[in-house]
Amino acid sequence: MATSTIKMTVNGKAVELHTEDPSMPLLYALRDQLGLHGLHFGCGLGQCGACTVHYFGEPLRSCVMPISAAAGAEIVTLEGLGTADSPHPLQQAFIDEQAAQCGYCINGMIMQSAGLLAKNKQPTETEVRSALSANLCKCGTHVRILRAVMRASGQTDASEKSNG
Amino acid sequence: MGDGQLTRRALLKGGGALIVTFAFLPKKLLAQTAGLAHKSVSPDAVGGYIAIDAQGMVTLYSGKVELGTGAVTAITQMAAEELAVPMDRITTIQGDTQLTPDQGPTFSSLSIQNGGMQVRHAAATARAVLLEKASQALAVSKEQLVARDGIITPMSGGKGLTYAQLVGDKPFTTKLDPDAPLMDPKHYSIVGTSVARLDIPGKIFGTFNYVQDVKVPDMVHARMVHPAGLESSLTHGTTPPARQFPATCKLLRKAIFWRWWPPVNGLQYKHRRPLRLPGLRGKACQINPNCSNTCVPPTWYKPMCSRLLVIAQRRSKTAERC
Repeated sequence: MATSTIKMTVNGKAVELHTEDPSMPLLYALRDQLGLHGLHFGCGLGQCGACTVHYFGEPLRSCVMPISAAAGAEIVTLEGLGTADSPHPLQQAFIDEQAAQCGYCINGMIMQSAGLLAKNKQPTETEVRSALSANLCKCGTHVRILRAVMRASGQTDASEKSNG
Repeated sequence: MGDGQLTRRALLKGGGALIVTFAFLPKKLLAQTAGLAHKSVSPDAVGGYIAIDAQGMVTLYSGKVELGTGAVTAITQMAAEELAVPMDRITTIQGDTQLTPDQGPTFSSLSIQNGGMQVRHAAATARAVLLEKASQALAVSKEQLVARDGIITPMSGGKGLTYAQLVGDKPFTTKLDPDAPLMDPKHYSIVGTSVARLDIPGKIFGTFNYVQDVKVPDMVHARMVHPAGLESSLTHGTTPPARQFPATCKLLRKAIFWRWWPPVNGLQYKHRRPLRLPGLRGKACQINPNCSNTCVPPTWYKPMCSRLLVIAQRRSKTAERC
C-alpha cells in the first residue's frame, strides 16, 4: 500500500505524518511518529477521553479521528498546552490540587477543561461537571479534578486545603 | 538478555537517555551512573537499592512501582529519612528489571509494608556504613557522630564529611542488614509529613512514561485471542482468515490468562475487534451460557483455563518508526 504524507500543525510546528492507511486514527500518528505521550489510548472508541487533543481549539477524541481528516489541521496536545517551566493555569491547578492518581485520564480532563475555560472563563461547578461528564476516571479522582478546574478559573480560595 | 543489559547500561552511563523512561526526575541523573556497569540488583544488597554519586546525589532503585497510589513517593520519603538526606537529593528509579531489585509484584498494600521496609533497612544499613567510614576518617567514635543533610559531623562540632566524600560514585558492597539501627520515629522530619507526589507533574505535562510508552529494541506487539469459554482447546487449524491476519504477523500459542490490549502501534487499530479463529472451540461460557462472544475468563478460574493464543506482530516498517 502506498504511503501518503499528511501535513498539519502540531503544537505550533508544521509536521508531516506518514501513513499507509488514511483511516488510521490521528492518535497513533501523534504517539508513534511524534512521540507525544501525553495523550493515551484508552477505550479506542471515543468514549473515555484519554486521547483528547485540541483540533482548531476544540477538544477532540483523536482515537476516532482519521488522520486523513486532520490534514491541514491545527492540533494542540497536552505537551503544547504548557510545560513545567511555563504551565497552563489548569496544569498548575492540577498539581496544586494533586488531582491525579494513576493519571491515565488526566490528559483528557485537562484538555477538555481547557476547551471549556477558553469559552467560559468562570464556569459554575455544574457546568464543569457537565463538560467533563464524558471523561472517565477509574481511580475516582473526580472531586479533586473538579476543584482543580475551579481553582484554574480563579474561583477557589487558593489557601483552602483539599481534604479529598 | 545479557547483551541487552550491557547495551542498556552502556547507554545509561553514556547519556542517561533510556533511564528517563523510568525516573521521576530526569534532571538528577548523575547518581545513577555510580557503578552502574556492575550494579547489583540483589534484594539482599544495599547496592541493589541505593547509590550515591560524586556530587552526593542519591539514586534509589525501587522494585515497587507507581500505579497512582503515591507509593513510590512514600518509599522515597522513607529512604530520605533513613539516609538523612533531603528528598530533593534523591532520584527514584522504579520497576526497571535490569536495574532494580525484584521486590515482588506491586499490588495490595504490600508496597509500603514490604517494599518500603526493604528500602528502609537498606538505607539504614547504608547510613551505618557511612558512619563507620566517617568514624575512621575523623577518628571519632560512631556514637559521637550525627548524619544530617548528607553530611556526617561530630556531635561536639567541627569538620564533617559529606556522603560524596565518603563513598562518592563507588557502589555499596555491604549486605542489607535487617538489624541496622533505624532512625528514631520521634526525630522524623520527612516520614509522616505530607509531600507532593513525585509522579504527578510528569502526568500533568505528558512526560510520565507508562508501560505503554516503553520501547525496547526489537520489541514486538502482541494481542491475545481468547476462546469463547473456559476449558477450551484448539481443535483444528491455527491460521486465522487472511483478511484478519496480515502476513507480517506471527502466531504463537501460549497459556496466558490475562489480556492486555496491545501498546499503541500503527497497525493494531485494524485488529482491535475480537479476532475469531476457526478451530478454536470451547465449552459454553460458564458465566452466561447464551453468550457467544469472545470473553476473558475470570482469573480465579485460572486452573480451568485452557490455551489462549497470542499473535505477535513482527517488526514492520510501521513498528520501526515507533
